[in-house]
This record gives sequence, C-alpha cells and structure tokens, in this order.
Amino acid sequence: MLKTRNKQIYEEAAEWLVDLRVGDMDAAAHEQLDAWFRESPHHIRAFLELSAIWEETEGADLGRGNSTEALIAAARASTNVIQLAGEGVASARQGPNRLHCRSSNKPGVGILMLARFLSWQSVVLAAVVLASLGVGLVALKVHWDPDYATNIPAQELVPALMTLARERGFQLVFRSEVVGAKHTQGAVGDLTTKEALTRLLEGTNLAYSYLNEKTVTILPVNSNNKLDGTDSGRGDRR
Amino acid sequence: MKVDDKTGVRHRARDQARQRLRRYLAARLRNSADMSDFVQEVFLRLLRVDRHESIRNPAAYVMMVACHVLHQHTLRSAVAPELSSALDILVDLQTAIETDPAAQLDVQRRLQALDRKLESLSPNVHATFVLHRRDGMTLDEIAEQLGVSRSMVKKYLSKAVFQCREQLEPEG
Repeated sequence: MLKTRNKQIYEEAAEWLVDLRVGDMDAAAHEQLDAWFRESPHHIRAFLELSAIWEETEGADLGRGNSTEALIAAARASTNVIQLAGEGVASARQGPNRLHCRSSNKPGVGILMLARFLSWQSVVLAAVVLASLGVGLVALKVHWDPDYATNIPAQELVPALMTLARERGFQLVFRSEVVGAKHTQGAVGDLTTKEALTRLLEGTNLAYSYLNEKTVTILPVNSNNKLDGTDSGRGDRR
Repeated sequence: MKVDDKTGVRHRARDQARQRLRRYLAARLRNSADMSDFVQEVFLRLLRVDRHESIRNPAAYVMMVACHVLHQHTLRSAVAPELSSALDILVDLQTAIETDPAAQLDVQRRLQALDRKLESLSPNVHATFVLHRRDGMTLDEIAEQLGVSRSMVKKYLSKAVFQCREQLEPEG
C-alpha cells in the first residue's frame, strides 16, 4: 500500500519533471505544479531526486557505446509490431525524412491494408505472427549467408543498397547525410550478402554493421557516429 | 580584474554551484534518513511563502529554497562561520563537493548503474533517453526518427527517469 503510493508519487514527479524541462508548461500547469508541491514533502523529495538524475545525465556518456543510429534502429525494430495497435503507424507519419528504412519483406504494409477490414485484435495477432515468421526466416538467411548471383551495376549508392536489401531480405537503416550522394562501383558475381555489401561500399569511406540479424546500418569510417549539430537540439532543454 | 569580469566569473561560479548542489542534494536525499528533516524544512518554507511568489516557476523555486536550506545547514555545522555573502558560501560548498573524491566517485558509480538499468528498459525508452540526454536531440527530432508522436516521446522520457530511480533505490 505504502509502496504503491510511493511509486505513484515518483511517477507523477517524473511527468512533471519532463513537462517542465522540455518547456511544455503554461501558467495553469505552473499553478498545478505549485499545488502539487504544497501537498506533501514527499512530492518535493521525489521531485528533487529525479531532478538530480536529469542533471547528472546531461551530456553523460550513456548508451554503453551504442551509436545514435544503432539506438534508433533498435527502437524502430521493436516498435514495428506494437505501433499498429496504437496511434497511426510509424511508416505512415514519417514523410520525407532523413532516415531511410527499407525492407523487402513488408509485413507492416500488408497489415496496414488488412487493418481496414479486420478488428484491431486480429490485426495485432496477425502482425505478431507475421513478424516472428519474418524475423525467423531472415535470421536463417543471414546465418547461412549463401552466395547469390548478384548483378548490381555501378550507380548511386542509395538505390544500389536498396536493391541489395530487397533482394536479400534485410532491413537497411541509415542517415541520408551519411550516405549522401555517393556512388558505388556496383557488385557483380556470386556473392554472399556481406561480400556484396563490402563491394558496394568499396571506396566510399563507409562501412556496414549488423545491428541485429536482419538490420544493417551504414556508417562513416573513422567517426564516433554521433549526430552532428547537437547544439541545435538543446533548445527545449531548459 | 575589471568589475565586469568579476561579475561574469561570479555568475558562472554561481551557476556551476547550483548544478553541483543539485547533485549533492540528490546523493544525500537518496541515502540518508536525516534528509527527511531537510525536505520537511523546504516544505514548510514553501508553505509559508505567498503562492504568487512561486507560481512563475515552482520547480526552480523549490530548488532555490532547497539550496538556501542546505547552505544554512552547512553554516550551522561549519567550525567558524564568518560573515560572508551567500554567494561565497555557495562557491565554497561547490569546491568542497568537487574536491571530495568520494562524492565524485559516487556520481560515476551512479551513472554506471543507471546506464546498466537503461539498457534493460524497452528499446524505445532506452533510445529516447540516451538520444535526449547524451546526444541532445530535441523531442521532435526523436519523434521523427522513432516514428512516434511527440507525446509518446515524453512518456518514454518520464518512464526512463522513473525507472532509473527505482534502480538507484531498489527498496523504494
């Protein structure tokens, strides 16, 4: 009982803290927060504690060495299924953004269309089944990594990578600033997926990395892989 | 040194002191029972002030009161408290914390524990918190990258903070 109450206080404090730090507080909200503080010293204590976590983590070396891209890819991979049940669908609201994400097996798209005809419960179920099937199959494929006849001519790098992703059934995640308008010499011959990737990236000063069995990301060589312009991102922090 | 320079230095010192104080507060708040006295006092002071004073930014106000209470506390326990400005006391306190290896180690240890905890959270919560706190991405940028709404990003953030705190004080 006491524990539950305590948990609730910290949950409330966490919501207040985020609202406050991202600048989503109007006059009415300030008044509510003030009232909340005046309700109990426990509220004040919880808020001060969580504030300290917030302060301490600013610019701290978190994420256990994971690059920005890897974190985003992992988060996106985890939401593919869950998103369908919630508000809208990830891919539908992205618009022309900086992160390209292409996959040859598109359970998401198929399910989207199904969703118009079925109740959401059955859609979620179908999504889970399809997604696990897809993951299983692709994982198997990557694990084998057999040779395939490959014929990707020299061209711009982005469409070449997308062709390979489509043919081999993996997901591609990269930032367009990283890949830019680079060209590839192409990849021709009987090649494993890794060999094909290596060929396509030859001379581009880029490298690939498997984020998981079915997701490949493209990274600049010799870089800490962090996003540029972090200063521009600080606007809503104070 | 010109007067302007001096003021600048002092302002910066004060800002830094506040930040250190918050950390100091956090460590003590978490660990020691006698801190409930401290929180009680902050609470009582807040009740005594006119509502209007704190309305503009209640959180900052609470923080300020907390700092005042803390440095009075420090004054009381000091061997020979001299008459000096509140600012000097703040700066002294900051120096004391910065040069205290135990306090520094404490921060490092806590950050490491926190990072381990973060990794065990859902990938969305983990990514959101690290992208915001480490990489300085805005909520809108994160929402765009993860393909979720801005309000969902906020939920992830508060979840991260809440769950990190659970890690730091499991018995809570």
